[in-house]
Amino acid sequence: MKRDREVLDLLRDEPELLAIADAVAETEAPRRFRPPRVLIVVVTLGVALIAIVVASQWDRGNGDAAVETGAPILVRGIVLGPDCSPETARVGVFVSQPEPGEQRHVLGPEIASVRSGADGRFTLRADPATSPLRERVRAQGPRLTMIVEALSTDGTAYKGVSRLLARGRWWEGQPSHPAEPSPVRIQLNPKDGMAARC
Amino acid sequence: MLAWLYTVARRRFTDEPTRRADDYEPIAGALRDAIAALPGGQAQVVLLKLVHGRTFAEIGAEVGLTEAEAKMRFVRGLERLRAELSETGVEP
Repeated sequence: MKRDREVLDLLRDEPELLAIADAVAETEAPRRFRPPRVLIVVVTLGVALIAIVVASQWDRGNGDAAVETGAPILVRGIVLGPDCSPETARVGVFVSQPEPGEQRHVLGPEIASVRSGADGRFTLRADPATSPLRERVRAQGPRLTMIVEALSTDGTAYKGVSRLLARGRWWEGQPSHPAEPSPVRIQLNPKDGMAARC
Repeated sequence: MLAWLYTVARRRFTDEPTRRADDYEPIAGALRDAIAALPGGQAQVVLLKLVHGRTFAEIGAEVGLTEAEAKMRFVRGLERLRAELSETGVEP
């Protein structure tokens, strides 16, 4: 706050009166709003609680590091190694597209990826309203063919899947690609104990 | 008394954000009481000057005094406050 020039000139030789003038100005000045300390604490705790709840939504599941937790589930599965034990792998799902002049399909654009957990399980989610799915659905309709790929230190496995988009969810279709020989396998929609029966 | 008044003044101009209001409240209370005890004309001039920031010429025109009389009444008011606070014996 700036001191009044007239007051300074008038009280130049009266430091006590100048100090009293300052004190009066301080005491009688319009009060700034200062929220009570308890209100600050309550608001801070509320914000922290909301942050914790929101953050907890981003990483749920049994080791499934889903990339888009809010998107509908596209593929769930488990990666198994050569001895049928769960395998940690990078799992990606790709648009399947025919290779020109060939009968086989090749990997198109990647839709989503995730790393399987220590139990080998993974969940891939994909929002149909985002690219490249949006363009595929627009061009081909709601039934899409995709390829799931699992990359681990023991090898690479592929699995073809068909999905139907309806009511904002992905519905299962028939596998469209035969499994190719590989020491690593992908099992889709595993039930409890499936890995042990491998 | 001068020491705590300087403390009040310093706090005002540094605008210490972490200052605790309850540290200052006893002093402020005594000061408000002293202002309330001023004769009406003096309190009016003091507050018009220090709270509302009017010039002495404006104050004189408002309360029917010359500028010099407004200054005199202002100084008399502050001297009265000093006397009242000394009697109260507020310690920082």
